[in-house]
Amino acid sequence: MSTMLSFSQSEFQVEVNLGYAFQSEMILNDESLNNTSAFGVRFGVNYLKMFNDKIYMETGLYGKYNRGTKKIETLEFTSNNLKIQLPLYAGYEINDTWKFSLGASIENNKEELDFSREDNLRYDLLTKLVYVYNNKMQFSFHTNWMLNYTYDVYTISSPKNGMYLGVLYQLCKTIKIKEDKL
Amino acid sequence: MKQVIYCLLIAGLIFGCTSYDDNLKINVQDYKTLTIENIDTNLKVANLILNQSEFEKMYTNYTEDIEIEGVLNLYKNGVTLIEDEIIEVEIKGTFSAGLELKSLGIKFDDTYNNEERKLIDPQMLPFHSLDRIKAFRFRNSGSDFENTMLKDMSYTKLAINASLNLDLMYAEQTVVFVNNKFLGLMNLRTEANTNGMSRLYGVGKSDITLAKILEGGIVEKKDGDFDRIDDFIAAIDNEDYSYLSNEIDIDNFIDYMIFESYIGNRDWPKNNVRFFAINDGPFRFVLFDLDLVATQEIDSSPMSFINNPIGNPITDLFNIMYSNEDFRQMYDARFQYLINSTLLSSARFNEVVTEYKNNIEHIMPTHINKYNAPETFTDWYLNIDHLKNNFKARENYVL
Repeated sequence: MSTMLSFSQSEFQVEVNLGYAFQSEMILNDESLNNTSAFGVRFGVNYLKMFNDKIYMETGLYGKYNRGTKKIETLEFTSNNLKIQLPLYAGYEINDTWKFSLGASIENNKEELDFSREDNLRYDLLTKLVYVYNNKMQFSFHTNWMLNYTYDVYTISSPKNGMYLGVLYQLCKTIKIKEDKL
Repeated sequence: MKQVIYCLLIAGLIFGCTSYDDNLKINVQDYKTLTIENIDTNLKVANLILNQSEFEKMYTNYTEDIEIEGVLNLYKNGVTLIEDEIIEVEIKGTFSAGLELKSLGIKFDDTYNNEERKLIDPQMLPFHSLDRIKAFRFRNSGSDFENTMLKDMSYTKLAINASLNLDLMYAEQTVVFVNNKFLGLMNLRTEANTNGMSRLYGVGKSDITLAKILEGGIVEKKDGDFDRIDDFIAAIDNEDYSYLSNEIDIDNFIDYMIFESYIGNRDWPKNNVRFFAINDGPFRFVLFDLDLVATQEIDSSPMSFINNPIGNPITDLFNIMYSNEDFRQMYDARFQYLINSTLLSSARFNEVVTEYKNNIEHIMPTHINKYNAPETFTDWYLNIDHLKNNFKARENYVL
């Protein structure tokens, strides 16, 4: 009788990103806003699970904060927006240094529980390029691109698209070895 | 562990916060120093002269039926329109009476002669009269108080502009003072009760038979011939089409059902229904309380709004009428006409909303500073955009 060993690896990370959120045009009160961008911070925990030595899935729970100042004829205002983002990625480990993942996220538009309205939720396409600096530290370039149509009333404080540079710190890494008898 | 993850996911999707810090580029009048002499507005300005302690007692004990006497003065651009008209004032509303700014019911000591349109001068449907007014309200906008302050009246104006065969509450935006202290921006509305309907048609109050349908589809007989109301409800229960077709104003009923279901009034027809008859005339239906229109189930068909899961006589009445081929053809043809004519289009709705918004844009910051509702001027603009978006979403679905 022979045995085969299989390895299951998972990683638990914290991630912080700083960046810039933007969209092409924003309308408020039938006027175009002078500025359609916002400063962005994204922070959260990330769970990554390897399926083999190249393919992995990752998910997590993130807070996304945007702050921007905008102006129309009668008003200048600064918006502060904090939303929770739930991402899910499929990733590919290009080599020992670079990883790339593609995914989607879901977040709420409103600050109330109202799933009866189709515009309550927002969906984004996500990309994430990761540079592995060492066993503990990684750097990322993250982007989000809103997929569904949503009114500007929601995106004025949280623009549709974003680009972020970030750092990931690995909290723990577990490797499980499974022995299968053949 | 799984339960914790699920809880986190759900919590994540309902969590969020957004705030705005305003820096207004328009002149904001301080409500603490604002008087009828120094206010800068093109709106009508009402000053209620009341006993201050009686007013405060009434305002504090708003659940009690307290009525106080006073006088009404009304101005526009510094010109006195109404001077020292004797009135009785009471707090109106149920839920909305709990808001910081309360709706006030104003009843004239004697019926007010409005032939010169001094009190209220709206665009009107040709079969209505506002020559005599017994009572009206300064309305706080109900559940729209913290949002736009113009929702209900915008939907109502859309119906007026489309010349629908409806009875409704006319409106005019007004700045209200009590004893020369700024109370707030309010909507002067005519009444949808027996008084209001009798004045709209220039008949006596005793000529009106009126009933309401309250939350849960319960019929409340208010005034007039109660036996006739009982017979009407019994005919609905017995599905007596020929009796019902003679008892209702068919054209009014069709426009009423089309409009309420087209705009998507979630708080109807199991609530907020009033129907009335003048003497032996047919029952007509009154359009009122549109504060919760297009808030939920925007992507539901007009018919699903009519067929509300909570049983009520209006749904039953409609289904009896609609099962008749002649009525069905009339209803469907009228629906198609109104849709094709664009009388109820989002473009027309946006025009109305923009007009009402422009009317109060200069005084809204003062109102917001006093009541913090909505929280900021930015929120107010966003709420108005949201109102327009919701109408557009509903239109896209129905078309």
